[in-house]
Amino acid sequence: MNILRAPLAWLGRLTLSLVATVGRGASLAGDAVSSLRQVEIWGPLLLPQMVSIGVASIPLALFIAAFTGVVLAIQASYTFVGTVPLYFVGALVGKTIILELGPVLTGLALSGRVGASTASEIATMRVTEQIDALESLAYDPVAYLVIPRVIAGTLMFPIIISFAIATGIGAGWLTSIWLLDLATPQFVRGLRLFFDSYDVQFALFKAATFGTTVTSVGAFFGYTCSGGARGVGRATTRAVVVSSMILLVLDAFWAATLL
Amino acid sequence: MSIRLVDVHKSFGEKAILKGFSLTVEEGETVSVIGGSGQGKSTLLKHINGLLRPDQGEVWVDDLRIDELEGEALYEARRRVGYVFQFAALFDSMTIGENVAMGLRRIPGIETSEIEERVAMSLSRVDLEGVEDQYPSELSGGMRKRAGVARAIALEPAYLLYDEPTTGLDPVTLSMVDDLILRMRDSLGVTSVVITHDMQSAYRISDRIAMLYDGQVRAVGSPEEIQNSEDPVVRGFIEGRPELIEASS
Repeated sequence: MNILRAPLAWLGRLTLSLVATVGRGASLAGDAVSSLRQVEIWGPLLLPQMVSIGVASIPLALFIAAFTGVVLAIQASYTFVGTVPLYFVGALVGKTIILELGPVLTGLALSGRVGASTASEIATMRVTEQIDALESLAYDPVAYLVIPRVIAGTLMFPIIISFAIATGIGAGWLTSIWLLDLATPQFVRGLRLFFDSYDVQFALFKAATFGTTVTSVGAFFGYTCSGGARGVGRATTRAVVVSSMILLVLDAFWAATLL
Repeated sequence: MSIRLVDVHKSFGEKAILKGFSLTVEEGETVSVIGGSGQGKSTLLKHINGLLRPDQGEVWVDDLRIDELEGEALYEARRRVGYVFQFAALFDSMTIGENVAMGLRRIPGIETSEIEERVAMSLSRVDLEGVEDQYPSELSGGMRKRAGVARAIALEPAYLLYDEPTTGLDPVTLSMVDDLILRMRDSLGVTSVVITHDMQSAYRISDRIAMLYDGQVRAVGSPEEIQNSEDPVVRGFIEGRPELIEASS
């Protein structure tokens, strides 16, 4: 009987925990909407957060994009040789980086960097009573900690990802002319072949939703953290795992609905 | 001018922490709340400035019912109730000066020069002149506690809530913090609630001592009355004899 009961109990606990998490998330989202009015609290913190989330993330994003561009160009050439004209390398590099790899790989990398730092900073403040201290000093902690990070993430992810896209295509182009004996006009011909400005709009919109997701999920797990150093570690890990998962689901959702 | 907790109940999940706690702290008084670890002393303190809300009961500060206040009205009430956290809870990414200025920056229309003046004065009141530009990590434990007091008094509150202000301090620093609490009462005239485990400290700084046990006030009285209490739970706690507490429960 216990053998049957144990999985059911586990399923029940999991369901309750999921419902509780969704409830806490909805409650924090509600608080965040009402805290938007407190511009005098989050306004001065927006620019520093944009620098912290955006500017400081650019080297990582460009590093990833550059090597993605190199690999894409080489793999495209390897696949196309003998079957497809080589100028299609430009088409594949451009289309793939703009639509998918630029936003998604950068988003995943930033869910590690930005999501983890957001969660761990806020969680540490929670377990050391700094959030209580903020409240006791008449600050709305959601306006102080959550709103500037989420707005900064939403604004900065498209900027970072547009740099990443440009770098990825640039790296693909350099690889094509240095390693694949492709001339620049050929690469550009391929690049322009399937180019659609809507793709860029799609990528930037997707990037903005990734920014909102990564910072909101990080802020949520940090804000609802409990249990000392172990709780901070758990909140950080969950923030990265959950935001990465949501990001991939969102990626598929936007592809299915907007393309 | 008083703090009144009336029949306060608070549970976390299925665990009941406060089970009808009632206590009045009169103007100018310093009341220490003693009790074992996990009895809900910090929970109780957080009700007084609205960081927690009771499941049942009333929390009054002057004529304001704190547990019913929201938004700006609650923030306004909190400015009158300074809170000194157990481990100071200083913002570690800010300097001490910025920490002390945090609450002041929320006062509408306050000038930068006045903020600087009040930061310097608050730090001077706790004998911490000249540390404005240092970070919390650069200070000793005792200095951090005093910086926490400076942050709390910068808003010139009528009430000060101290959450275990002497925990983890050496005897000399502990005595300095006790002196500081007395000085805040004498020089600023604040009404204080102090959560403490330390009986010597409680006897020294308190006008009255209340013992929290099983979610309620078990005993309340002057330090002498508590010292001479016949209640086995009170005796067990102040003499460190758990067998007395167990025998009575």
